[in-house]
Amino acid sequence: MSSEQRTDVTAATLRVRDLTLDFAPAQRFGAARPLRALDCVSLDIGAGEIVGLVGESGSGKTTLGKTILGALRPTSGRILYQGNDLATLPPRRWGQLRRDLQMIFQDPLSSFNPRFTIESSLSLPLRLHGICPKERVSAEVAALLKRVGLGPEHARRYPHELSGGQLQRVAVARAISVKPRIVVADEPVSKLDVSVRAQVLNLLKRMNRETGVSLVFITHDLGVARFLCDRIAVMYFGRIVEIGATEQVFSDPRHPYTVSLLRARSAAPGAVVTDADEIRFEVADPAHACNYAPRCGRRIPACAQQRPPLAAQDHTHAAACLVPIATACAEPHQPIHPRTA
Amino acid sequence: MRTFIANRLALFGAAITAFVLLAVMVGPWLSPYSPTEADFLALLAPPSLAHPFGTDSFGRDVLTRILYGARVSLSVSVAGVLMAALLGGSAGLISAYAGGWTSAILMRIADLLFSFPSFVLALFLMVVLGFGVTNIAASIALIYFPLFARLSRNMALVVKEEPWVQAAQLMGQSTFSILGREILPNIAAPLFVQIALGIAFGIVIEAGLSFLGLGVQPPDPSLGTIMADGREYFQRAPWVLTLSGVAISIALLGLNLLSDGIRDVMDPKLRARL
Amino acid sequence: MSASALMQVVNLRTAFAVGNERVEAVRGVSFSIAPGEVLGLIGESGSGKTVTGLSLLRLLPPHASVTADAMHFRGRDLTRLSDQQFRSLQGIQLAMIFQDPVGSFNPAKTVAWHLRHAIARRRACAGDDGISWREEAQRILQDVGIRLPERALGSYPHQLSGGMLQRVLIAIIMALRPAFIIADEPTTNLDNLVERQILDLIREQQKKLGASVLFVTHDLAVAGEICDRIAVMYAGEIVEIGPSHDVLQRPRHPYAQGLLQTSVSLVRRDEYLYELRGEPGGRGAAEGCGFVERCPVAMAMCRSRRPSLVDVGPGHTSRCLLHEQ
Repeated sequence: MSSEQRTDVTAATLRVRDLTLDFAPAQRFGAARPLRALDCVSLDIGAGEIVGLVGESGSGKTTLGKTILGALRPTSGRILYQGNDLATLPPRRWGQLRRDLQMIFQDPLSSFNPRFTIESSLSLPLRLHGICPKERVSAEVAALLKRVGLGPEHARRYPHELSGGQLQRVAVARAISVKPRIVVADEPVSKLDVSVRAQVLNLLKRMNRETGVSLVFITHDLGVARFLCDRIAVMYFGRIVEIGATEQVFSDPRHPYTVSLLRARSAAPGAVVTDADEIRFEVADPAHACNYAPRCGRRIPACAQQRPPLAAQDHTHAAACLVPIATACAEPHQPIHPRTA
Repeated sequence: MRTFIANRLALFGAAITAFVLLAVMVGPWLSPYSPTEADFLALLAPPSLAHPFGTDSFGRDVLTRILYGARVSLSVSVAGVLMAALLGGSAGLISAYAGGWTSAILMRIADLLFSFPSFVLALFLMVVLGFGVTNIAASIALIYFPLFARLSRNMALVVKEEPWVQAAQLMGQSTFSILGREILPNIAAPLFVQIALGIAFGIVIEAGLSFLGLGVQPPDPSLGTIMADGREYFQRAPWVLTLSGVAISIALLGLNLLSDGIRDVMDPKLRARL
Repeated sequence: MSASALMQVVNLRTAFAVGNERVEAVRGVSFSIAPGEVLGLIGESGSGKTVTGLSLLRLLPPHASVTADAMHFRGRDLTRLSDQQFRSLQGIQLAMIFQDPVGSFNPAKTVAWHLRHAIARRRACAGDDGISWREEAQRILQDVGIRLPERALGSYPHQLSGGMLQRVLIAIIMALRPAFIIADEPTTNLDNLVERQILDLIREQQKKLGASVLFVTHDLAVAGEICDRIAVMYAGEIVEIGPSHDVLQRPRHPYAQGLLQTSVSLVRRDEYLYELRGEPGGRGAAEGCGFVERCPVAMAMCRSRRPSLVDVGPGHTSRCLLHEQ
């Protein structure tokens, strides 16, 4: 366990330990096995840092984010925060803790009740948690809107009258209005137009720098993760396969899957070393093997016999691979930039 | 709102319903006749200026009786349906959110009530509870309870999964607040449509029960009792049965069109824009 | 506009009747595509890029009005064709790859059924090669990288992952051997690794068939890889069009420049990204430039004068009053 995180334990705000989450099996022919969305995941989130959870669909990144917030109940494992284990804390004992952990959703439009104005949606948390006295609520809402770059006229509008980018900024305002310690942002810009993404990303970064709130940033877009995050955890089917300081993971990736992801966005065609995707009703891998092995070009027999532990590559860099990519210059990394063939 | 006004049929329905409501509320006062006192000098008189709808076998002014009767029918129906909407809607809402045993029990009760054909259930309830107007309202409430419960539960199940509900949970809102603020307003529209339709059907049930003599007792008027009377002497005075039947039809038409209109207004909002 | 163009569109205008209003989604788009060429259509929401593609293939609902000065495909004027005549072209010579592959399949039918119909349709026009449809189907599936074609043939759409479905869709389209393909954000919903594979596949198949492609996307990087020429759309108009390399590396229109700047600042890992202010999706103003609200270098006259496309390089035009200075 200690090999995963070398960060100073006292600085960590929230610690996830051996978190596992199984979903009840769907009504499918022959699939009696529960779906393991999280498989023994451990992670630390430090004060004021931005941690990226990167992976493709099915990687468990969203599930991890929601479980940290208490929106999903894990099957086993612990989530340690301020002397509590959030994984087993009963709902009525949460109380003030709810303020500390907030979320920004992927689709801004459905994250607001369509029947209420922005003013109403923003003032509710303020009143609920007594952030400011009743008389000041309206002013506080206007101040919040201003902080995210919107004018007071937006308060009177309904969610469907705002654009995606504007609504997402309101979502940021709502999240920080209760002065949280950790905000989980679940792919906050993937549903937004390209030219608007920069606005929201800049806003998130500013919030982090100005208020010191920790951010768990879930995304499948590596370029964005690189811009925003201090540390990155790469996830593959419920497991963290690589974790480290952003620059290390990008310039010196150790896990074959990370390399594939990085190469996928490069300009070189045919660079990805994987097989064609399997048909969905193939059986999932058993617990005692590397779950990436079937697609991995570097696999050895041992990969099918034991689950590779998250082994430290360096002080702040770990990868779960029995044959990690050893050299520091794996490939001259192509910039994520439009290039013609 | 604008869409509603643009929808002519809906407007027509609203107008009819409003007219009916007005007639029913104000009419009885304006009428110089009593709905129950007999006038043996004017038995079975055909429609005339003095009696626009004619008189019945007791010489009572049919129009006046229809207005009083409609008032009874409407109030009973509205009371019953609103009760059903309140109880059923809440049951469905709670069932959807709570899940588990609560949900199972509530829904089985609803299923039980739902398995009887409505009129048979109404007859049964009247026999068990006894005759009379309040019990009609209660029967209507029981008949409609499962419909509202199912409807509200199904919609609440969908809305419950919406991100804004999750956001409310993460924000620490109370269950009551989530049910009442986040879910209920977003499932209300179809419930209103059902209320309008329910009132229409409730009138029919009440009329039917009263027609059979299980509801409103003579000499008190009810659309059903008027029709029962009218049926007896249909050959000699067809206007009684006919006109009371027409009165019911108009009221039903108005309510149905109105409910269609409500549904159309709510519907486009749900449709995605291009 | 060359005479040898496979597809030539002049002044395409598409409008929708919404309530009492008339909304113009495409406001005078013109382009030509040579045989075997891939033209990229880049834009965000409200740019009109998807509607352009749908207009060409007559896939819009009845309340849409599509007009053009010319829409020539292989020399034939498409605007003169009746719906029935057009249908004989649809799918055979003019094909479309949709963003969401799931909707293109009948969920109650196997992959084999879909392929059989596609092959039969082509054979009705072009005759067969002497092999059974099953053999041809297997060959096509293998061609798109499906190792076990028999298994895929026996599967239903819901049993296949998004990436697999997209492959099968491409296979079906290739079975028809169209001359012109519109690909509408075919990889947007796919994961990174799968996206890479599908892009490679599209490029490979396109070269093989010699088909022309109109590739609609919002992703600059993707467009840069697969397109020979690129047209950037904003508020229903093409604001810049030219060779792929030129448009992406040295854009001339402020909007395209803005997109590039953001991308560059992302790669450079600036402390904060370059931002374009405002939102896309505005209705193009009746007068003046459609981009004026967001343009960082807008001038006073940009509100009243509507710019036309002017040459800014070899085969490269841009729609901005700045070029006319």
